[in-house]
Amino acid sequence: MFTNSKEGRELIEALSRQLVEQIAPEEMEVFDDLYQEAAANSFQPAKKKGEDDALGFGVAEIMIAVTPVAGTVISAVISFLASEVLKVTKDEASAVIQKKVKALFNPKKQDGVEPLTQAQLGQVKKLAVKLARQSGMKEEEADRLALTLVGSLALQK
Amino acid sequence: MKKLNPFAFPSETSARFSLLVFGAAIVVGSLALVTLGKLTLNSLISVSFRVDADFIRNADLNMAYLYLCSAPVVIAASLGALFGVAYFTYHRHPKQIQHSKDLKALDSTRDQNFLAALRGLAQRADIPSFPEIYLGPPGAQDGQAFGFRSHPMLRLGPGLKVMRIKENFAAQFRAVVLHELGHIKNDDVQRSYFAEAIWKALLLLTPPLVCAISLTTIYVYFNLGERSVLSPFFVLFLVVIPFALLVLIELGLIVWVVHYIRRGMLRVREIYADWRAAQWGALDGLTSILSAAKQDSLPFWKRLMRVHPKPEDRLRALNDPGELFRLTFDLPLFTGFLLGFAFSGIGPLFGLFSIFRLVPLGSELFSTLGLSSIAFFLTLALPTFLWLLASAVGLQIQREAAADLSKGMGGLYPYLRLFPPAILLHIGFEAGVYLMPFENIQVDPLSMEIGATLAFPFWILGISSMTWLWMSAIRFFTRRWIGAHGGPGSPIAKIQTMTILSIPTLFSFYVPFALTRGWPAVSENMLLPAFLVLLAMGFLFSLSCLMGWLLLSVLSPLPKCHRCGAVHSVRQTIGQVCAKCGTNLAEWLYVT
Repeated sequence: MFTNSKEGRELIEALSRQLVEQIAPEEMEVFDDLYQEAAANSFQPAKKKGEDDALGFGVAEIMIAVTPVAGTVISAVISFLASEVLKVTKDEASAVIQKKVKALFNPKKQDGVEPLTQAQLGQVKKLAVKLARQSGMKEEEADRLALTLVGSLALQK
Repeated sequence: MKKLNPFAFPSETSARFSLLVFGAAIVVGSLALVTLGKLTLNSLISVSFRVDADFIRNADLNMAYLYLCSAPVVIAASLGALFGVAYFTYHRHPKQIQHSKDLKALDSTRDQNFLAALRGLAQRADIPSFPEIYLGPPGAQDGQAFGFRSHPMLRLGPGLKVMRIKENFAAQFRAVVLHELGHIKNDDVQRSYFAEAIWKALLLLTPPLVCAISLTTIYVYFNLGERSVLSPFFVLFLVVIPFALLVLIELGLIVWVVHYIRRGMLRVREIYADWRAAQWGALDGLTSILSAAKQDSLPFWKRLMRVHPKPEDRLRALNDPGELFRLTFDLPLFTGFLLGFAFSGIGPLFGLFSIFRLVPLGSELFSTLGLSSIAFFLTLALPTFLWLLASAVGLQIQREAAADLSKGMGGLYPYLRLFPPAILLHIGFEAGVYLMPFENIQVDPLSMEIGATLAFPFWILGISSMTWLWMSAIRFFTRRWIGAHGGPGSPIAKIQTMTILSIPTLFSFYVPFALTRGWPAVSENMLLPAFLVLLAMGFLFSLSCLMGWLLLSVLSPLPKCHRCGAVHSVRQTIGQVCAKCGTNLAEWLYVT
């Protein structure tokens, strides 16, 4: 699976960094810590911890950091895009598929890579919003994250 | 309306902590004593105070001597085990938390800004020694105070680092950290973790003690000649299994009561920590967190075990700390329960007096062992129980009286409202007596005279009335004495004097109560003398209250305004302002 390969992991990290830089630049100070923590957890939403410890605070979830959500969303979107690319290039090698997926995030149009259709972009947005909401983001924040991501995919000229 | 200052009175949580520690000690000590009683006394004292000298054999007496001689050793050993396990657990708690939460010490070079922010908040909180900071577990956003009084530690979720740098969450970051620093400032760390350690020790020691009681009871049962005619089948289904179930229910209820006291203490501490943080400027942050916090719907048993109050309850207490000034029903009920349990645990000591009184053979030892037991009860056990009652229930009545005065609430109704807690205290007492494993089997209601059985509820009502009198006196004198205290400083000395003075008055009720409690059970003819004793004590108490009031009226001058020195026209300061300069006369009771 592309997202489990070294290149895939590097791509997820780079795109997450880009996304966080755009929508939550203040988090860049702690991006590495947050990203590593989320990646170690396979980008699964963290379980609530320490909600009822003696002399604890008693409320486990106060704020949703963007970095882990960005990692979760981008990881899922890349998997989705890989499957979409695979549908049209069934007989090509995985290296080619990886290259095409990476190219989708490149603002410059590249030969042999068809930009995503409106329907596909709509699916990406829907998936991003769904995952961001599942991670605990508010609707407004989830929309913003999804739109920024879709924007980076639709920028190809 | 001005908010009441939760720190105006000494912390009620200290009383709850003492209640928990004594409660655990009472449970373990009493169970150990009952086990010893089962081993040595056998059927000698089946029903307290009902002993026929003709049936007492020398062998029984020897065992009774053994019981009396061993009792102090058994109590000391059981308490030694309880506090030994608790001490060990308490000293291990920092390591246990660090290990279970996968904590990592804060890297001061890597997290310089974070550390600087924490130091700033600790300075704001005026914490004498800066706590050792640990980060973890991954993903967490909360905090937890732990460690020791001289060496506090703080666990902070790594999420707090993100909250600090996010403009929208900086207030929430400060609120979480100041709440935890509030625990350190309120001296919660040592008490709470020792309470947790006591709780764990209790859970460890209670089951073996109850098993020991069960086994010795079964052993005694099989060794009673007249019952050996029953077949083992009947014994198993009619005796062993029902008894085992009963003991399990009793054990569950005992553990639940201690847990409830522990939970109550921890919950109140959270509210006090919120208040401390609010006083340091974190009110907005706390309000924002608690308003947004979603309380998951928890299963029933998890709700029972939860030690944090619900976010909405915390929010309510932040908006109106008057809740901390209310006498809730659980306090008298569980205080009474523990007193009853202890009474039941040391009950056999009293049962023995009646035996030794009847048998000339035991008179010599009775005079030494018996008198020393009475001395122990009167000088150590009873005053300790009464101190608990005065510092837990009495202090809360003082708070409630001050809060009512602040709201201008007077009249007879608040006094009448003290009657249900007084009754609950005694219902708790009786529940404590009968929840002692196998105590309820010893008392055979059919063997009591019908008149006495029917009179028992009236007896409860009688002693509850005495307790109500005591509670009313505390309320009355709080209004007259503490309610006349002016200025910004809390009347700690007066509050503590009131608490201390209320102990001997309780003593004057409860010694006759302890000594006459069994009379109605002996005979209905004893009911009237028992009531007369209580009535006499009530009369004397009312008389001394009247004298105290007259003395207070004569000796205390009218209060002066602490700002302009103008003499106020009424004795009360709470809820009053100076007619000349408009200053709040009892500033100590309100948040400034």
